[in-house]
Amino acid sequence: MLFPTADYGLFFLVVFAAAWSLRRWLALHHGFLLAVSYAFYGFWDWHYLSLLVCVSVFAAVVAQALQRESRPGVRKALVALGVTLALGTLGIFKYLGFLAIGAVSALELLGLPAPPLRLPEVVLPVGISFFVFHAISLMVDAYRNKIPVPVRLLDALLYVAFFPQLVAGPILRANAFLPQLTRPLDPSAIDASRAIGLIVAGLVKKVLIASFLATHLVDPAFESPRLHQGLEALLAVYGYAGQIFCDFSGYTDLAIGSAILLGYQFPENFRAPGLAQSPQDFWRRWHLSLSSWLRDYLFISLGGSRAGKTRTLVNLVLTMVLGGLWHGAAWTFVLWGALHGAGLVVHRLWSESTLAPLRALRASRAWRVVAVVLTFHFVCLGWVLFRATSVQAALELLHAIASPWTLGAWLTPALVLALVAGLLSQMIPPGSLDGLRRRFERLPVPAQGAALALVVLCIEALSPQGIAPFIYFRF
Amino acid sequence: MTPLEIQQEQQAPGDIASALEGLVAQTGPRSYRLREVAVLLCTFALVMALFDADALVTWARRMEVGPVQSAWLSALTPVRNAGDALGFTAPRRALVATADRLGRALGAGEDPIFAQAWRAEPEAAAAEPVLPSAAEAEAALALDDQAEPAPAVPVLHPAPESAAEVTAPAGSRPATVLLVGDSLMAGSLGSAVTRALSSDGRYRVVEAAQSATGLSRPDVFDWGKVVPPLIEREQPRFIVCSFGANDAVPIREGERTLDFWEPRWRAAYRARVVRMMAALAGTDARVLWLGLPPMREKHFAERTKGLNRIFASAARSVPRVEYLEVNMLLSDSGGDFATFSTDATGHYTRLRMDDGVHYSPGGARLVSRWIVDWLKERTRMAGAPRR
Repeated sequence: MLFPTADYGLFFLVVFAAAWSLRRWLALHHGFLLAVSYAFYGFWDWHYLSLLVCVSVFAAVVAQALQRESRPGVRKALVALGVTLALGTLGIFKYLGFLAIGAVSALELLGLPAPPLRLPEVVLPVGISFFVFHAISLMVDAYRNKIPVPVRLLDALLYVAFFPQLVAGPILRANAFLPQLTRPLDPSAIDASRAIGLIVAGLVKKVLIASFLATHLVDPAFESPRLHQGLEALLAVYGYAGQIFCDFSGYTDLAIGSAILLGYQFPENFRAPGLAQSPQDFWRRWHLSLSSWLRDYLFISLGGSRAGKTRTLVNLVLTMVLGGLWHGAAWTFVLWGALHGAGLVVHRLWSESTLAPLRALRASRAWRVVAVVLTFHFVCLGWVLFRATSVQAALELLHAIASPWTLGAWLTPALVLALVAGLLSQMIPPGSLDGLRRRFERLPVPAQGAALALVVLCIEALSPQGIAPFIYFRF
Repeated sequence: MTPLEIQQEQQAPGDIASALEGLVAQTGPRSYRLREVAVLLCTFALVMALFDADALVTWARRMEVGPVQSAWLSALTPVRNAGDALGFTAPRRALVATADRLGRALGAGEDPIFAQAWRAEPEAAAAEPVLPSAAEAEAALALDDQAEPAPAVPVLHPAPESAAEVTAPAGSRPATVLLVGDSLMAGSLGSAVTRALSSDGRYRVVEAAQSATGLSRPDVFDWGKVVPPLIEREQPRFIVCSFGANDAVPIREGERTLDFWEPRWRAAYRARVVRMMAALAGTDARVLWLGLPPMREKHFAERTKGLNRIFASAARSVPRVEYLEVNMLLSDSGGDFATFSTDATGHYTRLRMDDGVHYSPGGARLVSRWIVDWLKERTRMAGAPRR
């Protein structure tokens, strides 16, 4: 069930009505939300519903044991076992083929005979990367004594499977979400106008901008880089930057908006990444729920920045490479992560440099503009690797950009409009459309409903036939 | 924990300015009561049902044929008809028409042939069901008996005519290769064929596949109405097509709903395949009809094997149409589905996407080699145009 469809709209309206009418019986309410979340998942892939249930029950039991246990050695062993098994599950379902092929290629490279390979057919369950990360957050937060409430099984299962975030995030934190489940729902304080703003923004970004850029520019160029030369190839990269932002942040907006209407708060996931002034700044603005997850559970577990300068830089690169691999079992993602790791290292060295001219340059206003442009292009270089079907295809596309630039019939006014929209959408800071929201709030409530319907109708009428699934569902 | 605390939890330490920015964004002056949100959403649903009834009927029309679809259609169609009578559906239609005009003016127009096919009304699309002939019904019934052993290499069922019948090449213009079909073609296979032929001046490749289409549901997308104008416009000498991945579903013939693989379904579907093959080969094009690859899901794999038997049998009855069985290219040594396998150079490679249905770029390259070989072979037979 995709978000921008009538199926989801109807599903949500029914869930909204039923969930709020069960609000006085908290356990029943959570049980209902869990059941519809499993139904939502089953709609995608009922084969692996049992995996989702097993992973979450396991994580909940480990988290409960960690809350009861006080002996440090036992706690350490418990959390190590829990995280290892969770990562092992992810490894088997997501990386087995990649690792096996890597091993065979390595043997071939060394001139050694590779054994005949026959891998079991493993399906990649939808959303596994997300629900395994939720499970790890639950166990590690319990280990670090960061969950201020006792972990209850039903709440923990709902935390992992709650449908708005189930297949593509944002990644929730156990310590932030579980306390929400222990409080009674407040039917007098729903932030509905924010939810509606998010839902409309999400639909515009996904249905209009991302779909248009994908079909008219990005997909053809990335599928056949040799047929797209010069400027067209470059614009395809800019287009993909716009597409992936509109696609993914659009999905997140719809998820956060749905959660708010049901009475829950999700963390913010994007904050105008197009305004980033450095790779570090980019990761404070792009997929925040992942970058902070990687920081808190991976970077810090590796020793963070406490173990000396060189070790810090190594940890940064390692974190980003693993973060890249999280996106998919392919060398393009590894290189994408390595590129971002290298970017973070170079930026850190640059910003720590105490040479007087560099310090003056860094402080200048003009440099900030240059830094935004440089960072955007660095991120775009990463997107080439991220989107390309192979490393070779990525190189072909970069090679195509270097070929002579010509204008042609492909550069239509509509394409220019979509590119500009995709670019600008990455630069709108949260809260900058609040004026519009205030005006909407002043309308009588039925007029607000009608206004929302008219906007959604316009988006629907302008949408292309058939919406491609969200990019992040694959991860 | 307040929203602000949650947010602080999520962000890099020391980012206070951003936290304040988030605080401004998150604490609106207006909090809604549940009753207000309920009124808001009910008004929303009502206005959508009235003004967007066309889209809702289309949504129901695209569901799988069956009782659920019938129930939705019988609930939504009267709403739509009432909306028509009262003028509620007019604004959206005007908006769509304006958007189409504006889109064309700005160069964003979809291919008019396909846009029209997607928007075609079901009544017009399924006006006269063409019932299969007795011979077709018999041929379809005979499919059950053909338990053919799995071939060891991709099998090409040649067309029932000699090479001499191929028309002479049209001057020195590149020969157009038209790619049609569903998402198996629209995805990496179309790209792989395009890539493979991009440096060969003898061919011009036109990708015209549409995801989520097939031959079972002309009420959703009617290839029968798309192919003639497409051929007229593109004048292809070769057509490569991949149909069937979306076709293992019940179909509607007139008022009747036929369940998958019941005898009448087989007869009706085979008749549609034959008509499509005849339409594709109708002028003087050479058609290569690709079989479906093995599918990971057992139930689906069984169904697609059945469809392949229909394709092979239909291709034998239509001149200039050849059927390529691709199963062996893409399966393991036991003839079953394989996500990974060794390619022609002996390298272990990924053949299929994670969904267990679509070709990966590597799998598509493997199939495209056979397509390109076929094209070159047939071009040679026809006396290829030289640059």
